[in-house]
Amino acid sequence: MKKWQAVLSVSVTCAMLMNGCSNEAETSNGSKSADGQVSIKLMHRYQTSNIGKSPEDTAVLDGVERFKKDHPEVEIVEEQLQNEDYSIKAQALAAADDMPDVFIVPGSWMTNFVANGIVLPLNEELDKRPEWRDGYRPGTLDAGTRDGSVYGIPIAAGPTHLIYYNADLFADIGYDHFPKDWDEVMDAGSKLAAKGINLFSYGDKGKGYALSSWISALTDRYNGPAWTESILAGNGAAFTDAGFIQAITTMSNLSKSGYLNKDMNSVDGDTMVSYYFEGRSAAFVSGIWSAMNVVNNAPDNVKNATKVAVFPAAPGGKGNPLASSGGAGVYYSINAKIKPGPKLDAIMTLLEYMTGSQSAKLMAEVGGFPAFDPGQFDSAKLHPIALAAYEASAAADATKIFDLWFDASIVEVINTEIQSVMSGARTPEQMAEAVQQAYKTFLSKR
Amino acid sequence: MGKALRPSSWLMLLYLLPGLSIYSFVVLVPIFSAFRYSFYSWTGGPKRSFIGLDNYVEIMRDHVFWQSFLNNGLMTVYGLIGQVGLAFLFALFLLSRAVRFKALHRTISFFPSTLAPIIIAFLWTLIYNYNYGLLNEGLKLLGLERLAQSWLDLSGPIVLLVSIPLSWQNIGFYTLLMLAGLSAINKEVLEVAELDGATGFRKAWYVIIPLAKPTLMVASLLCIANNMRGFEHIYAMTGGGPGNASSVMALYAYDTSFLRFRYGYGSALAIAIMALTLLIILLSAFALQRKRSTDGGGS
Repeated sequence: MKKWQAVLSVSVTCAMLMNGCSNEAETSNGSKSADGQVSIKLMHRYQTSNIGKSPEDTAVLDGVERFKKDHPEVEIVEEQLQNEDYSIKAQALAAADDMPDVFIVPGSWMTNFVANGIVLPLNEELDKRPEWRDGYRPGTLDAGTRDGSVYGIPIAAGPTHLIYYNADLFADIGYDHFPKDWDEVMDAGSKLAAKGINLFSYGDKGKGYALSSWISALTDRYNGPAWTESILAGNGAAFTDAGFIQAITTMSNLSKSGYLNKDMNSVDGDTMVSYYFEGRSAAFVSGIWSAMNVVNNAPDNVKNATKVAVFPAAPGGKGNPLASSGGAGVYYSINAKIKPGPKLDAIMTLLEYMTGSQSAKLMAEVGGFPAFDPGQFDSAKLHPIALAAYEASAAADATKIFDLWFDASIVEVINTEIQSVMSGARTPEQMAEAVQQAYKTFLSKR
Repeated sequence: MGKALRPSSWLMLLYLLPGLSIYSFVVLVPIFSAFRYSFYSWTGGPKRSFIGLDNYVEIMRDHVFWQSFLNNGLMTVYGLIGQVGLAFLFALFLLSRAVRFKALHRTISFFPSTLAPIIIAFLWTLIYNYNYGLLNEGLKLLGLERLAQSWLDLSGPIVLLVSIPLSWQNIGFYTLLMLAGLSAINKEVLEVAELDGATGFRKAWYVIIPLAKPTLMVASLLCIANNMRGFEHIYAMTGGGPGNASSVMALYAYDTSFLRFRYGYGSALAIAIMALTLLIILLSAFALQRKRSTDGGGS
């Protein structure tokens, strides 16, 4: 008798507690505030404290401010989070089906969010605004599009692969340009090693750098874009194909020859760049986002000597030697629960303010590479490095960024295996086998 | 407690209610919901599909999970030696008459236990750093420059290398535990042993260890439980790398849920971790207890 009473009262208390939580969640989901004014809940990872430091933060938040000024009737409830915090919070909210009205979705999450019906298809709304829709650079909407439906508005684009190199250090070993082929790369590597300098600094502690900045571009040099398309479509190409193995072997050779920093798997991107600033390395491979880092933080002698290049052509490779892995990686998406009406209109206008023409111009002027083509902009204030990165980006044929396009299960295996290969614990062939295995599993489930 | 003083069951229940309800809300409910989710294929949105035992079948074949399990096992072994074993020695030293400034030693050895695991991991990442690290600098000073390594990039001994900071952090805690246990030993027994000529090592082996067995057992079980659920140090120091060389079960479950969006499988992993840890603790408790009872019968 007493026992079941105890159980009962405990469970009643629990139920009450949980009920309290879910009630709270429901009320916070209301779309319009009491007086009929439209209120938009915006959650993103751009921060006021980064204005002036990061081109994306500067341009997007400027868009929010302009919108507030032009549309005082719309209330914006904004939540700014740091990258890591954003990922954790967004995933928790998505799992609880409690996303805000407008939020950021990295391209690699998009398949999952579309499958779970979290994000709203935007084709109809975009078709109402053709001028804005057609202003995006080719391919930048792709990673946010599934089966022809656009689920995300891109913000920035630009390559994930560029080489920032110290021209003075290369001049010292007799190169007045960045090595033009891989034999020259290895030759420069050995000459630099003789002086105690690493050819590249490399920092893959976060697991993802290698795939994003190296493997995507390097595999394309060997295999060409057709291979990537075939992998994505699942019609024949394999990770055990020679080109993929050669790309990994190229990286592994750099590591084995000692042309990279020894602690390549245990330092992060910041340390990698600081090794370059300290003159420990003659170059580093990174995305366009590093351009402003060099401009703002490099010591003057390094900053003045820094130039921008991309990987040389692969021997016998099928890819375009000017190409770089690129395209938009991060999107604004809208909660699938929002119905057409004044609120959706207001949200679309807000997104245009944050990512459209005016925002794009500003982003380009402060050294970013917007997804929306800004056309002519005032490049006078740009540092030569930022301008060079911008021009290399605009000239580069954008090939697919693997981590945005491949399924997360395959990405994880590549990210893990490449660390093992670079540390010498596994061979490129073993890695290719493991990735192919994950790919086969993925295809069988599709 | 005397019957007259005992409050009514209802009152007892009322007293327990706040604690019990918080406990069930933050511990029991999540465990039960993880158990439920483990039978679903769930990618983190409103849609879930029931797949029965498929997740558990996959765990059986998942070699990364079992490698992580082995790493946990290895860490536990290192922990038993480096945390419980060394702590026992420290406690013996601290009790012996030869050591001075005992309070100072106690405080300093306990100090790392008060730091957050992330801070410990950061400190040791710096110590292991190839270019600026204390370890490599020390080797240089000793003229052993050729031994300098980028320590956290070594796949071979990586589990040992990430276990050392754990020992460094926890040794003070176990030392305190041992000190409490050892000082409970009747002084007269020790004096008699000394009179009988048992000193130093023999005193420790034949007198102190058998008498301190309950404390040693508790410490060992705590250590096993701690190492089986190890996460923070590894997450911050290596992220499980290079490759999967230093992956542990909890980290793998975290990655599976939050990087690969496989919440169902991640839940199944969490349940498997709980089951395996319980199993190991039960087995070792059983083994330790049996040993104690046979020891007791022999004397």
